[in-house]
Amino acid sequence: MTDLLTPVLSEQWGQDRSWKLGRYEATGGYRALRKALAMQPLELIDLVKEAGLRGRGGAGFPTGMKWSFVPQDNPNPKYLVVNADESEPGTCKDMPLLMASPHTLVEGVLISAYAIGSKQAFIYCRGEVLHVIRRLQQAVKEAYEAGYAGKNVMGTGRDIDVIVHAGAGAYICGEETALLDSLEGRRGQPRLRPPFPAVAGLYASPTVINNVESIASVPSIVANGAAWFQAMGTEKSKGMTIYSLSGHVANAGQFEAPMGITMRQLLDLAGGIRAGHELKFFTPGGSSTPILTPASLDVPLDYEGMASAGTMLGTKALQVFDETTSVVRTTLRWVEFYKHESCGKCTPCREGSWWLVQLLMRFEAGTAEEGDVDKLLDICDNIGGKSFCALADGAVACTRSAVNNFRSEFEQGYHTPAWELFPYAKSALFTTEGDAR
Amino acid sequence: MVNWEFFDNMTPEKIDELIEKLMNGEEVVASRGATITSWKEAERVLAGFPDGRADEGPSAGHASCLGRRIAAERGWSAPDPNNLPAPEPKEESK
Repeated sequence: MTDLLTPVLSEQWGQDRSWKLGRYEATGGYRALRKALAMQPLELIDLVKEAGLRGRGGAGFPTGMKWSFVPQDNPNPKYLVVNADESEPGTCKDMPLLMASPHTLVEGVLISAYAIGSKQAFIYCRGEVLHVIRRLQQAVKEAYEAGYAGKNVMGTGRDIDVIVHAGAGAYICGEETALLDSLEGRRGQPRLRPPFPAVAGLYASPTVINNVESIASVPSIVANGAAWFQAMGTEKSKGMTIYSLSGHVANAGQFEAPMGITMRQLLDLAGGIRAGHELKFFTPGGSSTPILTPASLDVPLDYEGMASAGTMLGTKALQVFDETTSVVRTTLRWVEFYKHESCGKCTPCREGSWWLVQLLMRFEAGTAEEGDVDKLLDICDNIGGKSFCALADGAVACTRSAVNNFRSEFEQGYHTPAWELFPYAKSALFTTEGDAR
Repeated sequence: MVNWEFFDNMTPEKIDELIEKLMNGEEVVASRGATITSWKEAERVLAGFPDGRADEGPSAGHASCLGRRIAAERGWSAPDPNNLPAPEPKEESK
């Protein structure tokens, strides 16, 4: 039986100058790279497959399997791209990791690049986190100076270049193919698949694109073995992962635990809902995953558990809302986000998210018309599954699940503003002058 | 955020104070980052030209370390690779 929390990636967070190469090496850093370089690339791919690592960027696709899709007989260069564009609302695991322990990612990048036969790895990091970019740039520079990256890595004759690229502020650039377009210097818009990036990705060449946390998990798997990784987690969702808790909890923060911990267990660790309040609804994996209610507190937070509850694990971004919260208001804010971030390529998303916002504003103001709830769902039907990427599906997921779980609250929008039903100041995490909590 | 630097636990009052300071040209340090520079200097860093400030600021925010702190208090850790727990008996399929 493993412990409730299992710090691996977050082990050194908060330690003095944890981001420096010297500190990283002192706690065992880059030993895994040495071990990996002595293995055959195929052995490494098999190791990651056996461990059962699944992509931590939201989709949960088996990482080893993705690596094995790279056609090694393709004459084009192979590329590794790390998706560090963490932007899913509520998600806060990759940015703290890059700020506190960027070498964990850099070591993972070097091992993974070697495994797939790549000589050039790119880390696409969102630009809206200046200090994270600084730490990441420095870590890569330190790795080059130490001979872990660049020409003749650790004397093996292999060359592996690592390039840090800052995005310019677009949620859509966290979508893998839009990211590749942006990295190529074009406007970030998703591509049609097939062909998939593994066959034709960056510069139409075989590309593996993985989330920060996925790649950052590789050094510990190489160092400790597949059986160690399998000792954590559930039958089909192996390993440890970082859960982000925010909102109306007593203590918000990151919790690294084996896959499958429940919301009840996490809430307990976070000190419960803030004093004097009770849970109304929460998102399991960011705003793009259907919301859940207290009825789901004991469902394991792994891929299968969340699917069985009619939602998705996503990025494990647990946004918690108590009874002071208007579901209508929350849904409107979320859909405003999707509308703002829509790249505009696909009509259902570009126009539909705009219409959803118009309708939701009516609900918030108490001026929605009889039948508008069904109109909302009807528009969702016209958007969901009908675009090149899943951004619009995110807007649909939160709207549909909000209406399905709280229909009567939406219907009150036919006559009463949301801010009268649920005075907004009461949901704030801070008090302003003259306000009682 | 100011120039893409983190300012944690802000309130409307704290933001007013922060804006006052910035307008007065006082030095302002991010709660989870470095000293605030000009926007032009920040953009240079994003473009790939380091400004030497990477070692400023803390390792991580207080909230980011919450789980790690609780684990340390309770003596929880990842399994020891040399002493793995015995696999649990398989549950009946649900």
